[in-house]
Amino acid sequence: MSSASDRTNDLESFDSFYRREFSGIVAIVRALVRDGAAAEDLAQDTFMSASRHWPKISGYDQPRAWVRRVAINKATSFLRWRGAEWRAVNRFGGQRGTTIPELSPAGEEVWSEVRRLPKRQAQAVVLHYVAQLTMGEIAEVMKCSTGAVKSHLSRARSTLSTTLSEWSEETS
Amino acid sequence: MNKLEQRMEDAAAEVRQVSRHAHPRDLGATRSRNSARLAFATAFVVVIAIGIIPFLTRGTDQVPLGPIGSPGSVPSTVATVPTPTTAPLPAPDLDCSAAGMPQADRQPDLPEVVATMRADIVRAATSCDYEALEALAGPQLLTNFGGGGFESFYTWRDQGDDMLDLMVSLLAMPHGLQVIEGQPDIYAWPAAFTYDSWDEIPEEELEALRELYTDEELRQSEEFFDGYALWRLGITEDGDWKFFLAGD
Repeated sequence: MSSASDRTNDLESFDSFYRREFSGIVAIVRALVRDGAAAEDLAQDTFMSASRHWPKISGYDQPRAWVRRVAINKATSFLRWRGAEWRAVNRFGGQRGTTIPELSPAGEEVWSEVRRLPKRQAQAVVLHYVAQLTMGEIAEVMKCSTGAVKSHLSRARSTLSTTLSEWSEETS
Repeated sequence: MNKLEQRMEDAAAEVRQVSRHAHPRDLGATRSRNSARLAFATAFVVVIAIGIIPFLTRGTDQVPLGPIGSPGSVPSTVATVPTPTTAPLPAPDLDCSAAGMPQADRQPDLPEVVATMRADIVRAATSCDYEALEALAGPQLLTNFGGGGFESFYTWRDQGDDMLDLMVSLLAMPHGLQVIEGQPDIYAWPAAFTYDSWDEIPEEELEALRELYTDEELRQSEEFFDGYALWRLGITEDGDWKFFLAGD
């Protein structure tokens, strides 16, 4: 399934695609990794990959699905491999500028709980709420069936309804 | 809209709003900036880049596989597009990262027993069937350099990152052949693992890897190992699932 905007992507330049989609990819990654600087870097990493093969990617039915999939894969890989390295960078005083403001405590708590979910549940939640994708679009990004997406979201909501309500009670 | 939905929508709106402050940088400059930043952590990188994962405890056991670049390692690139063609399974009640992912397409040049094992691993993983996976694994499976076996899969699951989707993604990539004298040949995914040096990895295979890893992770693998030393899966020519691990 491709949207009208996706179908026009094969005609647009990488630069305009990059500028239009960048903040949306940052938002997806930011929800998954917490660190604003890391989110910006991972988003740019994603677009660097896209830029290298833009002629091919721009011809895909859904180039946006491709960059979203690569972004969540890179975020997952970052968490799997690089979290400790990132902390080492901080320890050594690396320059870690970010233009992304901090989230409110309430907002940060939500994403902290989301990040505690099993990985695929967290990805489904972020793609549904942050990227505002349909079940079919999420399935395309996650390379799975819509049934699996619904299952991931259902389980995530079940967990979050408990953990976030516990948090609300503790802070009220 | 119930309270949870409202809260999720509010949190999502906020993260979208703050992310609008992020501006696309010049991509050429990004690579330099990242490299400079990460140089601060170089002393930690060798240990961390490959060995940080808590469940990958490095032991003294020798893995019965040649290192990347071993003389007996013979690449044999086969498939060209890492995209399975079979439709995803409906998986509404399954709960693992590979649930509903596509089944394995056929790859040319695989012995029947290897192709069968590969398809069975994908089928078990996408069905979240740990019993079936464990039965396929057998006692010879290596999941870390300390000799870890299938129990690592339970550990990964308990830690919230069951690794099954990564494993299925790797098995959809082109495979290579690792030849070590005196041992059964091993069919390995991704093929990148079986090249003698980083420079031999074809660009299209690197590009497929960039969909799974950050550029920095791949750069570190190149710099420290002159080869692909990240996650890979191997099946012997006899059809035994030999390893699913990372590092060197």
